[in-house]
Amino acid sequence: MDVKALSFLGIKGKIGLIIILFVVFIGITAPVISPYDPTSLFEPFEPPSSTHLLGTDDVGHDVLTILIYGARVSILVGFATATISTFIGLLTALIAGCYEGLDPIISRILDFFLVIPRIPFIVIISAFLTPNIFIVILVLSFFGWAKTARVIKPLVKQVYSREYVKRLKCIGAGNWYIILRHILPATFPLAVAQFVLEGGHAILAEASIGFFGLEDPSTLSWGMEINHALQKSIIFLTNIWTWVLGPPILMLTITLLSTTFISIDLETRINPRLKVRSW
Amino acid sequence: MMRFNSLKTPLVQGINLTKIFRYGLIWGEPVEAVKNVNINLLRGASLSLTGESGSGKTTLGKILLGIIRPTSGKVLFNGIDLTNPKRVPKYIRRMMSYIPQHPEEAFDPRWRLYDNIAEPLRIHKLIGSKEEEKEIIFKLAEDVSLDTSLLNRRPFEVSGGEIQRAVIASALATNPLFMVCDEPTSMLDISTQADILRLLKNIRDKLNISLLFISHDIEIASFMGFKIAVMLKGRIVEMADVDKLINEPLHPYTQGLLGIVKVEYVSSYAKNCRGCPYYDRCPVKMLPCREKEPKLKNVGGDHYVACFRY
Repeated sequence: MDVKALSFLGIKGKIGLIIILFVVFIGITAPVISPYDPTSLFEPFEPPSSTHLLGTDDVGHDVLTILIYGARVSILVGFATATISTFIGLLTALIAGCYEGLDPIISRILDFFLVIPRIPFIVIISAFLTPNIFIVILVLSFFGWAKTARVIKPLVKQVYSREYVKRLKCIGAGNWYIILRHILPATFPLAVAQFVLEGGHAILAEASIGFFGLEDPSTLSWGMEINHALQKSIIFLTNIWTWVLGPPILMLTITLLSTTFISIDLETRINPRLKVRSW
Repeated sequence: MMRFNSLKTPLVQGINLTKIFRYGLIWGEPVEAVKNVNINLLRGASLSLTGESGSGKTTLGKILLGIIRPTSGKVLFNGIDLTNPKRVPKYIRRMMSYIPQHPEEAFDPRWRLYDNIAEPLRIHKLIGSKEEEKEIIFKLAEDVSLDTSLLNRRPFEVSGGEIQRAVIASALATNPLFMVCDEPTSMLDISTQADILRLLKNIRDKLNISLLFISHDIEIASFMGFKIAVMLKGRIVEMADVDKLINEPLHPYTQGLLGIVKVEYVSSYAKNCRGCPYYDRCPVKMLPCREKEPKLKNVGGDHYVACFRY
């Protein structure tokens, strides 16, 4: 890890980054580090012990194994959604900010996408289409890019109206030259902050879909695990919920917190109006 | 390569330029930034624009560069129409350069001074190799007496005067024929101002550049130009050679700028007045001034003035 890149972030950002990297690590190395195969079954509701570090759930899956494999889904959904929506959002923001004539049209399109509530729409879509992780990614990106575009567009406009851009235009620089060489580097940090935030939102949205039970039942995700656990209300009569429900919720919370930490940290460094805040 | 006309025909020609800015959708009041301005600039000649703030100097300068599209009128650069910015061939752009008002705004803050100065060369692909580029940049820096050790710094790490020198170096990189300097010294202290002005004057004389120098200070304007045009509310009210205008100004506004006549304080100006733009403040106003706008006319010896008294 490059120490210099880390030193750009504050303490919050560093903690967030370390947690995210940890989650990515366990997601990638899941087949190696997980104690059991995700399909193997044991006695249901076994408490944590040396053989099952986090116990087993209602069907007899090892909770730790499911947790480790669940990280894969969350990271995949988060990363893919964030990549697609940041790319489209950034491109839209650059076009809207630099071509004045297109701005009103693009702004109305953004408004349209921003007012559609994301999760209810996904619930409807998942009810009709085959519940599939790639459809979830596509639908999440379909609604995620508008927010990224809305956040980045004002910065693009601000940079585009700077005096040096006018000077370059006068010298003969083309619009795309200015966009690629000057405006994109200026907006890139904000795009990274949006990327991380969007990733976090996508992870949460995916977990919500799993929680509603609208995903492919064989998907091993944290949301699905919470859904399975909640279907057996018996777990709340004893302390079973502490190992069946607790770990996925905790992992989800920690992951979301860390993405939020990174994006807040990046934003306070980019946006001068937030710099006074110190927490 | 294009052929250049003789020295007698103007290099830059603005014909009947008008620019109206509109703000808001429905209630926005149109602002006439530039109104019916005719302006000619010969090759190697230099003209100073002066006038109070908000008189449309900067807008006129940007229209002549083809950055702002005029509402009506035409800009000809050696016979090529600049009015539609998209239709302007790229090699024309190489022949003009612009020095903005705030030197610290003129460069990309993320780039080193070296890259910023070299950028016009790179846009037009005028250099073959890195070494050649370095040689040209160092020579340019020397021409504007900029310390070459500063070239590795970023714009916010050097002083205002140094960055202004770098901006001038960058403006000269493509050997322009026409240069617009928009108050290049207004943000600098007095001694640096004098240095920069002398530098600009030397460069103008050495390279035979047509310079449009914009300044609210009539003294600086008279130092830099062969000719001065005085602007008021988007119109040119007086235009003459420097000596003539300074020694015998005709328009009451110019006389006021030079401190020859005392101008009374007016708390508010009439909006969209049909008559003379100086009617509110004029100490020698007459009856027709209120109703009719005087036209710019030649009163002899290339001295133009827009006033009913002449």
